[in-house]
Amino acid sequence: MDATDATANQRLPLIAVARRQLQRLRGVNRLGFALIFLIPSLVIFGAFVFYPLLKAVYLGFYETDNFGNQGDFVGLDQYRTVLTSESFRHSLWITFLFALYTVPPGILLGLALALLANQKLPGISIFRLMFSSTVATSVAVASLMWLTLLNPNVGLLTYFLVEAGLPRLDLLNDPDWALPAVSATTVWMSLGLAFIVILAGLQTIPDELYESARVEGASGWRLFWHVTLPMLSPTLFFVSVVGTIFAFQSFGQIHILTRGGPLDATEVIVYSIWEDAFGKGTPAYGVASVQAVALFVLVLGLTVFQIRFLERRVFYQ
Amino acid sequence: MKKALIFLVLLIVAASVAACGGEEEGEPVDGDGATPAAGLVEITFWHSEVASNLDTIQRLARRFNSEQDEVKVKMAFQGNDEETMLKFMASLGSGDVPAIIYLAEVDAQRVMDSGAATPVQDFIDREDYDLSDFDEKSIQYYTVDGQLHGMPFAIAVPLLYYNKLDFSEVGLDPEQPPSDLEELREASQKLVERDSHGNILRAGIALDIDPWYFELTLAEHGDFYVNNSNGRDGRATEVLFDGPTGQAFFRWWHEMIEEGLATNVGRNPGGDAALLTMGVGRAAMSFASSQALRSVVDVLERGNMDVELGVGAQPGISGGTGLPGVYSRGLWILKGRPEAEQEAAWKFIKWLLEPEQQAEWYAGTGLLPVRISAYDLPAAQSVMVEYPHFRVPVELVLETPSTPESLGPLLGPIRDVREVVATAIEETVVGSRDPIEALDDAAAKANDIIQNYNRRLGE
Amino acid sequence: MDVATTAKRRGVERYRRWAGYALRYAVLIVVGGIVVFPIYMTVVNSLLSSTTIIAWPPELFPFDPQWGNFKKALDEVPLMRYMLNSLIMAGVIVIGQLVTSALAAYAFAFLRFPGRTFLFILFLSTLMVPWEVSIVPNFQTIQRLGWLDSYQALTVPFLATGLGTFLLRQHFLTIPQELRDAAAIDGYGHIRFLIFVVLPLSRAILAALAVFGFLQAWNQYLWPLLVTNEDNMRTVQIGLAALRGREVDTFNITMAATVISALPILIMLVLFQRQLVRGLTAGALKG
Repeated sequence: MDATDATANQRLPLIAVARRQLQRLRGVNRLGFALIFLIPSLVIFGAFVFYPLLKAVYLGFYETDNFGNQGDFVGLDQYRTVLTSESFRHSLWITFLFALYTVPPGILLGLALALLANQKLPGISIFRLMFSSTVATSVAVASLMWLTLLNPNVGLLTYFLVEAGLPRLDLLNDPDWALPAVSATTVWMSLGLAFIVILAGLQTIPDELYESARVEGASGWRLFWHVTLPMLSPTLFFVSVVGTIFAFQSFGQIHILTRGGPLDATEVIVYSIWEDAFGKGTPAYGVASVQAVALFVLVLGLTVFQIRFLERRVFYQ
Repeated sequence: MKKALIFLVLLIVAASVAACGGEEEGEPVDGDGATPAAGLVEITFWHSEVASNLDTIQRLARRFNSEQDEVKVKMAFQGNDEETMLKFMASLGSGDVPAIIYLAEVDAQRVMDSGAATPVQDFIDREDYDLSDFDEKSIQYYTVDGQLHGMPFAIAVPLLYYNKLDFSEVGLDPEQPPSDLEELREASQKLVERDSHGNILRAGIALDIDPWYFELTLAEHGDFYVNNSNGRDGRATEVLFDGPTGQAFFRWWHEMIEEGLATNVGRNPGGDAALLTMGVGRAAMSFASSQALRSVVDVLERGNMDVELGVGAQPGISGGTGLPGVYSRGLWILKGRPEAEQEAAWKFIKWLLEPEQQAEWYAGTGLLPVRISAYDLPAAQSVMVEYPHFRVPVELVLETPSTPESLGPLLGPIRDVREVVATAIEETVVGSRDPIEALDDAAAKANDIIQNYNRRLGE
Repeated sequence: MDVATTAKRRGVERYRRWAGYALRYAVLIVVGGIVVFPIYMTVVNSLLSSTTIIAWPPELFPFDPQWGNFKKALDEVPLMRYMLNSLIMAGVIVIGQLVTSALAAYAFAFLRFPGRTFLFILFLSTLMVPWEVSIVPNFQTIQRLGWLDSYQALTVPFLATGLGTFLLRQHFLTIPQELRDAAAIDGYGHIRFLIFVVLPLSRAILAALAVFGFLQAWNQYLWPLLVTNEDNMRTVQIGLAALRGREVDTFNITMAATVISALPILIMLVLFQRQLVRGLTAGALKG
């Protein structure tokens, strides 16, 4: 080997190193550039989503004094006491029931409405408007509407019950009926949105698919099961995931209709968090934070579960 | 595109209407909206009044603002009594407190413990303000260790509201409301009306789950709610409400519901559930504070309901005093505001306490004045003539003695203890828990709460 | 087949067709009626007088409509002020969300940089954190910033959205490579490309996001309840809920206030329903 070869051998590793460093610099450069686009969102998320989550975990380790300030350090004791308490287990159960009463019926009813409104009939847009109208009602509006309907003194629904021979039930004050009543209100509230989303999904199913299925002799129920449902599954999956997340965040209607009662019959975790933090004479931020962290883990777990197990059955093109 | 334009135009129109209208709606205490004079101090007044009471207090504030140009009062509604207190607690953390806050009497100890209020004694001492014309009980309520902390403003008396027509219908004397809970039960037995299915069309009484009724039953019977003379002889450390009187009350409530003599209307966060039930004829009686008296009378005036109103003292367990105690709602000046605002607050409070305003307040609400001479003024006299109901709470107030039992508890964590009591009532009324068991459980939980509270205070 | 039989058969067919139509419309009407029923009752109640509102059996139709109720509702509570607050809050949030999520989605769709996947998952993870979890610390943050009773408190925490970023990114990815190349040749920098090419192509999905974002913001109850004390900063939802404690026979006024506050969304719905569906259909839902 002559001298040039020797220096060439020395240069190769150097070039390699230099290239890598340049790539890294470019990478950093590119990251920096990209960050310009991401900073606005990241700042907001950092301040109002990630920091609070960490702070909530932190607050769980401290007792709260009589006026809402941070009190003594109690370590994992508070986590243990709260998470094993009767009332927490009760709110877990109520939350589970509430999700059960609202998410599946919401999807089924939304699907039913969307199927009905997908027909090519003259004037169908009026019905589409009617079906989506619940979107126009917000939490407070819908809750007040239903509060009036269920009022034992003047409510129309109460009247129907009485005509049916039942006593004048005060559903919202009955521990057996309060949760179903609140759930019904919730399903109704989200019906419009579910309808719109599922209808959109239905309309993306190309007609050719139906035609080719009909050519093969399918009709009615089989069409639905083998064409509609599979093609709709991404939409339904989306509605299910988002719907569950929203169900776990339901607060407004419970606050207006039952205040978590009667006898904690509608005390979902979210409401319990609110009560402990802002609804008590002595604010218990520590206790509220523990429940909040538990709620996060729960929602996270459920979403992951849905993604893992339900998405398998989703049919993507 | 066109649709978006339409929508945008609508938005702009709405926004301009809102912006213009914003000045006149709501709590218009700005008078003629003239530019504020130099040195004008603006103060905020937090309260929980609704309906007729709201109208009256807004009227008073408006008049105050227009009669002088040193202080401008802004009213801010914060929800019901409980919610206002919660707002107050939350504001402590940020220093975003109002100059004056108007609270129920039970919150007194809490406010004092927070150290957020400037004791009015400071202002009184400075000017040698004369308290001789004041109802002794209300002054006593807010006095601890010889210092007057909050300023009593209006007195609420627990009343029994009943429908005289229903009473006559079943042969009861409409002028003689039940004087104790036993009589109430007997009256209910006559008043209950059922339909062919056996469902209750009209109950004797509509009861909302309000833990306050429990407190005043003890007061009426001359019993203590908590130890250390109801917290007035030193900080309270445990509850005493699980004695015979408390048990009798819980048992009474439980049995009334069980036998169908009473209708449960729940927690009643809106405040009107029990009265509405009475108004539509589904109950003949209900409990409520005299605070609602004016509103109830106004509503009945409109003639929509088939009710001839009668009021009496809220009855307690037999063998009591017949006097369910008086509850003086109070005004607090908060330390967190600058001196000038605190002075302005004191000015407004003094004005509110003048006999003339006190009489107007009484006539507009049903809450009683703390100034005794207010009763002699024409505003008060005429309302007593026009609505004889207004005389009932007056007689009760003047007769009630000033003892620690009748004044009720002075307790820091009272709201949490009340919640525990309310849950216990709910368990025995809506659930079917044994009343004594529920009461004992409540006492144990309450003691826990008090001990924790005191411990945390001591740190 | 003779003429008579054919005619009969056509007659039967026509009858069947009409019966089929009738049945379908009947079902649609019944279902639509049930869905709209609470809204209908609220409108009815808002037009009843204080006598008829507590009538038993309850009135089903306002035979003597009390249009004055609406004026009374506006007088009872500063409804217009509440609506203005809700409007400002929702409007600012929507604009903010569109801006931040469009920017972020652009980066995720068109830029290559280290940590892109990680950051994207980070964005998605914000969906899992329920708002209530962050409520206590967020409230304390707002307190410390001195933002209670201000528009900042009502809007700033919501100016970014993980869902919006996700949906926009999915849509941006469908923009064909040729367009990007053409823009590059024309000397379009990233910002110009975003503003003049990408966004116009995403009109439908942007509109859908705007509508949903508006709805969510308008709907908020818990947060505004916490951060506003002053009456003039209250939003419609809180103002309405506060009406719950009003006098017994002014239900009709409360219902009137409810109708007024539902109007903006209702109008939006009527105008933009088709856009909504179209926007959703624009491929964003396919996972």
